[in-house]
Amino acid sequence: MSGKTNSRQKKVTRRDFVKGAVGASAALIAASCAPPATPTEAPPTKAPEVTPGVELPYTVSTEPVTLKADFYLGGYGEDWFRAVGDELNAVHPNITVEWNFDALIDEAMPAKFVAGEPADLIYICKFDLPGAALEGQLLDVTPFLEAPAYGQEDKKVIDTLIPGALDNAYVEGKPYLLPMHNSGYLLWYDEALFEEKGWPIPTTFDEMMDLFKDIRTDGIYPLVHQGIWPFYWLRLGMAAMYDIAGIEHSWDCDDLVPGAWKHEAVRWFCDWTRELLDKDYILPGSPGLDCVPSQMEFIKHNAAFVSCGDWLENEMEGMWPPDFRLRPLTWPHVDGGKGKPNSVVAMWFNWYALASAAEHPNEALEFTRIMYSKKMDAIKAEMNKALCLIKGASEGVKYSDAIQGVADYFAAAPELFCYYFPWWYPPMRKDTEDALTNVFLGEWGFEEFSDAMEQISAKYREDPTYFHRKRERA
Amino acid sequence: MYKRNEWKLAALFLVVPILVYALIVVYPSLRAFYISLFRWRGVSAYKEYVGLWQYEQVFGDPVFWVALRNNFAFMFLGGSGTLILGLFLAIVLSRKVPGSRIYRIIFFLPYPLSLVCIAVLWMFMYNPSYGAINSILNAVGLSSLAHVWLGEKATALPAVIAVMMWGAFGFYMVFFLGGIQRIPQDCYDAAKVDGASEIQLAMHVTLPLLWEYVKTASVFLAIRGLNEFVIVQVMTFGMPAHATEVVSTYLYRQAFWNSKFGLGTAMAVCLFLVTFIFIILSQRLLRREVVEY
Repeated sequence: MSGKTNSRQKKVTRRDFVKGAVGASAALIAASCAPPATPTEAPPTKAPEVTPGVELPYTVSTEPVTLKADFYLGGYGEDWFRAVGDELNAVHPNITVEWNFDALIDEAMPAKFVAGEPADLIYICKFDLPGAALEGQLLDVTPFLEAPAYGQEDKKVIDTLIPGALDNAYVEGKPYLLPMHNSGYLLWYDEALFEEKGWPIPTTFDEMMDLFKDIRTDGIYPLVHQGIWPFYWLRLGMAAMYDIAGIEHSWDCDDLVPGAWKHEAVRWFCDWTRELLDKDYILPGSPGLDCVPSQMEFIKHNAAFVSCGDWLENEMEGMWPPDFRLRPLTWPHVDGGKGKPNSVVAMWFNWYALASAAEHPNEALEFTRIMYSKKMDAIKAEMNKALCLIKGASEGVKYSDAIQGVADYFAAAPELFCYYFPWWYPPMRKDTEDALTNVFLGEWGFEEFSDAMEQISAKYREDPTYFHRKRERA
Repeated sequence: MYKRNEWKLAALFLVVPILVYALIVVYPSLRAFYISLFRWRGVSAYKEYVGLWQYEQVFGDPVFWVALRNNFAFMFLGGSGTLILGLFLAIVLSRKVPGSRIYRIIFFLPYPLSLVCIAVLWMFMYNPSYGAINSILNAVGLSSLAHVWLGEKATALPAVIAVMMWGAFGFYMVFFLGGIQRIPQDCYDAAKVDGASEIQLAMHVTLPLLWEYVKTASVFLAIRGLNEFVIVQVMTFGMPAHATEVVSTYLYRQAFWNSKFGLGTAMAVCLFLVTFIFIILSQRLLRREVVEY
């Protein structure tokens, strides 16, 4: 055996170096290249009711047009959107829609916008559409809002939308962002299980905590949450903080008012979370659970309550046991709280928008007019088990018992509320989630959480690149 | 005349690869550095030049340092664990133990699986309620060792690193086996005549003769650790509270979720530099005389 230095060393190093150099970029590219969802056949809709002589504020082409749609594939699926496309095609046979449904649509948006080739119709989950509006990438949808409503031509579209639907639509005074859904965020339970166990439905916070004690004694965990997505816990926190502090606190948080996160309501929420942990009321493992697995724990009766939006029933379709009677519950009022009892966390999201560089803006507006019609909203309500965005669209709609329960809560609610800051400042959502995770892991108390949230709030308050909205206060 | 033709031939062969390399490696790298000098939302062509401001943000961001620390954990713990496990199994299976062929197949089996499949599979394994790990621990009376593996800060990172090791060690086992099989039997026979034990054979014959393989594997694993993305993204999204965050997942979120493409690119440039420096250092640290046989 003779020893000498291997001259091939440097070649290996260079190749490795190259791999290292492009590794991170490759990860980004790979992650953003998810294939489109497999289309499913949309159910047929009734024949269109074309009203002759209706004057629109835009001119719809009579030439063949193909609208491109980049749509988020989430809990509401794709069938209803396809039904809207069919309706549009029935009214305007020259217009068809080329669909691209994708759960990772947000990741595909930047490249399309930067290349100047966005789809005509855009429906996203997390993408920074307010930022896109600020940079002139979105179409001002005033002509749509001012157009005669489809099927109710005596009214303008804007007058047919439910109150609050356009709360987040405007950027620098112009409407760009339309809500795709009207959702309630509540606690959910199985009525059959409660009857079997003889558990009462709590109407106050104290009753709920007493019930939690009984549930735990029965060997079941009172709560499970979707810990991978801490925002679910924050929505429950929204309900609790509103109940303690009243609506003004949510406005202060949204307006990034200094000291908003030092409010006693925040302390109350942090302390309550700690109490749940100390009393072993939260299903162990919740911090590591994704949406579907955590909701499965609820379905399997390992937890008596889960907090979720009203998409829960649709999202878990096919997994409900036949005897499971899903029912919603609003946050039970805390004695002495400033919030109005039986109020509901209501969310008008995710966002839908039209691109300013759209190839067919007028036809996109027409698609939008048909989508936001009483007729199509009613179809959506039944098809997607969802609440309506158009006034009166739910009349005659046969909801499931679960969604009817939400609709009843909405109808009776003295106040519908939501904290908007995660949508006004999209990155703030993740920052908040990170801070909140420390709370439900039991590692942070009020002081640490509120300090972190004040810092986060200040960061966005002082960042001039964001459009700083303000809540309208009386 | 002959030499001039040779030079021309070499240039002819080199020009295409150099152009391709420049196009797909050099240009994107330089372009990435250029983009990192701008504040850019990534929603339009509009960019605001901010010089090195993004780098100030990166260096002042505690999460970036947590993510980088986690990358080093992947590199040192995951990398060395994979290497040691692969080497150990290669040495054992090269000794013609009964059933070694079957073991080779079994140990190699995870490697061809896609990283996404591996991550999803282990998410089920780690599930605190019905996952195999806690179920086994409970069944054998070790409930106190059961954890919310991916939900607790203390266990999440080791749990994810273990998945990386599980997916990779089979490849390195086969890689080292290939090297061991090239070692002449004479070397072992000579050592045995001198009274070497199995451990001494491994330490003083196999390892030195396998050193180039170990060095190459170390570099591959270091790069893998520094560029870790898929397993973390699928299993934990960097949760809980950044406990499993790595630089690639963090920059991905900054770019695609937070619309901070300039900042995300600055992080990518930093990761590139760290990888580059580490590769240079590792080559120097692992340099030693190679024994040829």
